[in-house]
Amino acid sequence: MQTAARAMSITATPAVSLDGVGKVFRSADGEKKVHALDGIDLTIAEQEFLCLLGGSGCGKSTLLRMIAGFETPTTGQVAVRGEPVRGPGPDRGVVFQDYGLFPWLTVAENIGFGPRRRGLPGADVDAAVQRFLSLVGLERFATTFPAQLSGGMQQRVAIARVLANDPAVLLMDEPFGALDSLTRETMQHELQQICDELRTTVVFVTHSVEEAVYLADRVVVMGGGPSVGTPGHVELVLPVALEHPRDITSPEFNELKRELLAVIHGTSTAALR
Amino acid sequence: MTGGPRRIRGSQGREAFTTALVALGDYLPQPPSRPPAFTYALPDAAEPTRDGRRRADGPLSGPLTAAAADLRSGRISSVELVEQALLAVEKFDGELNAVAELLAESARRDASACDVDAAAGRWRGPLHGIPLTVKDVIDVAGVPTRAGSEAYLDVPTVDATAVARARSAGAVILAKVTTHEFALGVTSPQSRNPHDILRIPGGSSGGSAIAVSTGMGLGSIGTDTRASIRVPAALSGTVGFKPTFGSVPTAGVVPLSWTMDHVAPMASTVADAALLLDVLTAPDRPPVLDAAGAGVRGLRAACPRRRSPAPSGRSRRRCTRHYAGLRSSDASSPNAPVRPPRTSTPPTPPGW
Ligand SMILES: Nc1ncnc2c1ncn2[C@@H]1O[C@H](COP(=O)(O)OP(=O)(O)O)[C@@H](O)[C@H]1O
Ligand SMILES: [Mg+2]
Repeated sequence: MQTAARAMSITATPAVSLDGVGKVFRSADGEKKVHALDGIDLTIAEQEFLCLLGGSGCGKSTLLRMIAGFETPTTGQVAVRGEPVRGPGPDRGVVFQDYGLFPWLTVAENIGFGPRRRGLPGADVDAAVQRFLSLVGLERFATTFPAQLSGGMQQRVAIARVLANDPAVLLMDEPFGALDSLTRETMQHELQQICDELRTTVVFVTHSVEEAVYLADRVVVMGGGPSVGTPGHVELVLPVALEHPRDITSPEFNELKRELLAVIHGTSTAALR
Repeated sequence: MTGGPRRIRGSQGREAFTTALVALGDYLPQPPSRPPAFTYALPDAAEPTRDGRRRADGPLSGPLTAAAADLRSGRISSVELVEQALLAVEKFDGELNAVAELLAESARRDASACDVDAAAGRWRGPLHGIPLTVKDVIDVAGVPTRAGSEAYLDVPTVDATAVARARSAGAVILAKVTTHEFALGVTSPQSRNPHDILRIPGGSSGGSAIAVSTGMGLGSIGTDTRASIRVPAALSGTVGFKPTFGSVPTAGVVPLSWTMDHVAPMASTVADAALLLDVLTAPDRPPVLDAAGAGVRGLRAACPRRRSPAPSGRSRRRCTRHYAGLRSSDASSPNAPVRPPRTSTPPTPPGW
């Protein structure tokens, strides 16, 4: 009975939990308080792909940075697998818009950096490198340097490098924002395939409704923000139950898009008033 | 696709390294550096004391703070200060070798622009019109950075953040000054000690120490990784201060250790160094100049007893006496052992 209850609570431990999380910054001149976020309650289940969707300034990046441990919440608590977040850690890998690769390391060395730093034996490092190289389809570019690759390829390396570190959760802040739209679609498709295969937990920040509906198991629409006069907050949580790969031209897909757009436009027209 | 890896400049390398570690959850990103905003007034330095000791009735002072106040009251011009500094270069540099690159022309031009602004009542900041020198591991836009080495040459197009902050506070950059090769050493053997030319000036900010103590500019921006500000300051009788790690951004500085490099001020007196430091640090830190003349009441003093290199003889007795003096004065000094701080920064890569 007791063991069963414990087993239940173990399996039910969310990958990420945000409990009454708020963040207040000081303005650049140190004079005013900037209420970036307030009262965020969210739990992200293991293996879930969650998109944070919202216009700029509503606190998406701040929320992600608090999960990453780069910022401390002013109120509330952030926990990853039940452990309160106290700073950055290898259990959370971050993919930025501008890749952030080691420019002097080859593609293979970039991917092997995390495993090597964690002290894995050489053979295991090599195996991890091979596995993630082929996962992102860059086997032929193992000895290439990042500057010799296109933006999409560099972002593949960044994703592979973080995944090779075996994080509990993958944090992505508008990772495809700098790519052209065709590359962006390809990358979305590949990311979705990879996450389905590895069952990775992902928190993905975007301001593209289509991207969110294409990728997410759940879309969290955020609104508000200091420029609007209210702290950033959650407007709506919308599950997306469509099969992968999703057809962006299907009626169901567009119905969800419409629903999200209505909420977002509601918030942004409120901002204009 | 282009061939070969892109050549990475030193300080860009540091940035790329830390960004990549941040992505792997292995490093806390540094807060963005903000533009400086100056709020406090200069101390009244109408009667500066030459050695910068505290006068019974007033704040600390020094040549830099005095010159800044004199510029404000119109007693001297920036052009005059620059000419004085250039005279000092002419007189001393042949023997001492402090200057790596003299920027006479641009310094004269910048100084007259400062004077024009001053005449119109436009004050750029607390260093308005003050000539400074910059250690040759720190980028000055359009001027070669050589890091004291034949093997390194770069002509940066932008100022290092520290230099940009000094300029936006009104400073005039007079010269790049010499350093131990790649700042990797404490002797600066290519240069001479201004007090005794048979001796080294100390390093690696050796050029800064010579420049400050001979009047080639009123202050200098140097770096300290393993005592590179403190050693030459001690050997030349100037004031060098290594501030808290990260308080002055290292963007645009040729790195020695990505996790131990500090950009640091050097000047003739505590007040001068404090003013310079206030300009270089982020503006959200409380100004140290306000504290410079304030006595020791309320300060916490501590003395590392273990694992510190034991000074011998006279120095040790002096240290002990000063520490005892602090303890019996109004500084509260918990007699607790000081342990080196544990940092979340990654270890220095091997070979550095
Ligand atoms: N370090 C900071 N200091 C002050 N204000 C900040 C800081 N970081 C973010 N903000 C403010 O918080 C709000 C939310 O920012 P952010 O999380 O970047 O929004 P988003 O990613 O949704 O565009 C913005 O108004 C921004 O200006
Ligand atoms: Mg953002």
